[in-house]
Amino acid sequence: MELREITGLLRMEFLLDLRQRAAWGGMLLYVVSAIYVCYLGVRGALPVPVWNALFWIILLFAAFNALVRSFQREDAGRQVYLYTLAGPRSVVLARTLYNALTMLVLSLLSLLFYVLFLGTDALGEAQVGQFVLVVALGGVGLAAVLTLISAIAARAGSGLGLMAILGFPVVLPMLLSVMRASKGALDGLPWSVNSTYVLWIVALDVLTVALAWLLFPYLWRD
Amino acid sequence: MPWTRTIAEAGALLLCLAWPARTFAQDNAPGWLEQSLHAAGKMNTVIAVVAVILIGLLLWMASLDRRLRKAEKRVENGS
Amino acid sequence: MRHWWKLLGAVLVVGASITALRVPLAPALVHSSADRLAPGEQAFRITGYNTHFDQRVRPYVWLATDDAKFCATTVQVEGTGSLSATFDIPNGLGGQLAHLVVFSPTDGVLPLYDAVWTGDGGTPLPDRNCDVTPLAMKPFDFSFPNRSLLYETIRNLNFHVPMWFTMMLLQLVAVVYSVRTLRSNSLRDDDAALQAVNVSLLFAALGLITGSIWARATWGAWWTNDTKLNGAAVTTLIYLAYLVLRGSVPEPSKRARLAAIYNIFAFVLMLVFVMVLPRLTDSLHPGNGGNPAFSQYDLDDQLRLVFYPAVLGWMLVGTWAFTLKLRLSRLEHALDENDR
Repeated sequence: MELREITGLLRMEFLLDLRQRAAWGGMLLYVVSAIYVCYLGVRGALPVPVWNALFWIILLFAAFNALVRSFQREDAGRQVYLYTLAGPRSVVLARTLYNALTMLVLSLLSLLFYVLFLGTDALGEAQVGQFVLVVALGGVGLAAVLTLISAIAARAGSGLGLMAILGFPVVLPMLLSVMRASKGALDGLPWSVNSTYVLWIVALDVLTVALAWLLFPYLWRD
Repeated sequence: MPWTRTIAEAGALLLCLAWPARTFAQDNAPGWLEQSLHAAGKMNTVIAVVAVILIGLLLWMASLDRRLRKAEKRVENGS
Repeated sequence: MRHWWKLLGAVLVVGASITALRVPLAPALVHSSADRLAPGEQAFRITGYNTHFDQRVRPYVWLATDDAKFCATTVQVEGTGSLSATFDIPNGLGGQLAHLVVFSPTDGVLPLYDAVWTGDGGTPLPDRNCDVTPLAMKPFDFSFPNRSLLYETIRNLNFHVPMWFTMMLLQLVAVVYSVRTLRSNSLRDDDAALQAVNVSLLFAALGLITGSIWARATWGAWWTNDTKLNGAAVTTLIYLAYLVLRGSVPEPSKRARLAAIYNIFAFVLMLVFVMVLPRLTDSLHPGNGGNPAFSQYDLDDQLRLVFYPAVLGWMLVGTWAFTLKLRLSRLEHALDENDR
């Protein structure tokens, strides 16, 4: 495992995604439609906790939808090819990194659309910088947790259904902490108070990636 | 069948427990549950908890019994 | 005796359960007829639980704030569980909550915390002392603490909580076998992990149901949005998902590997969730957020003396159940081999 391997793999992911731009379009469309449905259903200003919860629920489902492809697009042939090219630990790190970037972009775009459609009333007292930071960290965290789950589901040979069943309880710790931190940011808590949660989310991210790094080689081999 | 007996015993136990609870209930007065759970310094809550554990273990034993019986049958048929 | 631990588990569970049901609750006050002071002569009727009030050894009653002690003028014992005390309340008191305290030579000092609102005036409660001479106390009984809201249900601690401990132990066993599965690729280890998960789900179910009943009697709801409860729910969901994952992979060795990986991953995250997150947030359970920890108030020495043996006993019984299930499963696999 070395840095060059990881960057190479990252480049490959980018190129592959550039080739299938429809997948990215699909992800974005999914988020925008979900937000639009919420907009149609809600009509009017939402109280802060609901605004917050709704955003994270949308993002959670968007994450499932986006990351389920992560290992599924691999057919058997390409997997063998990857296997000869790079170590499993590089593969999982590169893929987690790539998924984290995907989710980072996706969560910030979702936030943009969400604010556009559902209004900024909830951001009245918010520490906006803190909130955006939490959203970014939350997106990365969801990606970190769901990457290994997506790999397991892909190896089990089933799709989004199994991934949702496996992923939901595992992602809950992350989701609850992120929701709490973002609620704190929306309520305008000072950084000194809210930083506990933010650091906690970072710690959870690191732990998750470490676990994926440890376990992935066993998943990889056949 | 042995495990049907186990279940019958569990049922009888449940019935014994439900009986005094019903006397507290006093014809679907609102809050019969509170009345029975809170009676005697909430002692009935403890009884309910112990009963749940016993019933759970009994049901588990019944399921074990059933699987064991299947295995025994296979041993008999096989030899 | 290779099976001594089974006997030990059985003896501990039976002994702890009987003790947990039989030990009396410590005497305590449960009710006062008035909850605010009115100027003039005011009579209070005070109800106790498991108390032994006795006219011959007169109890003392007083109201207490942080810096004052205001004694009753007369105290009348109406029964072993009931007192009536008369206070001579001056005008203009108010702005404080006072504790109602009874000292009875038979039962010791019994407080009813924040029982009385002193009124809407501004004067703090004055000092009106009475010399409580510590009379000869009854020899100390073995008893459980008597806390308001809980009352007798404090005994549940010895039934409900060991279920969770046993479940955690079995899940730990499952993870150990999962790690071994990854190293050895052996289906035997994988099966052991599965059986440990199966039995742990039994204890999870028992813990959930008993907890739910206890919550209904104490907090008034079957389910509360509490971090401990969320942890329990997540744990159960994880292991149900584990079973679903196993069900969806037909090939045994692949199934073993995937299940082991998911088990380790989920267990570590769950452990973090259950152990760390509650400390960051409030909880109705003791020891979290602003609530007093067990060691301070709830789990006093007498309760501990029953609680720890109960936990150990249930853990041994849980392990026993696991070995039974495992032996049965191995028997079935041996039969499958024979048939082939």
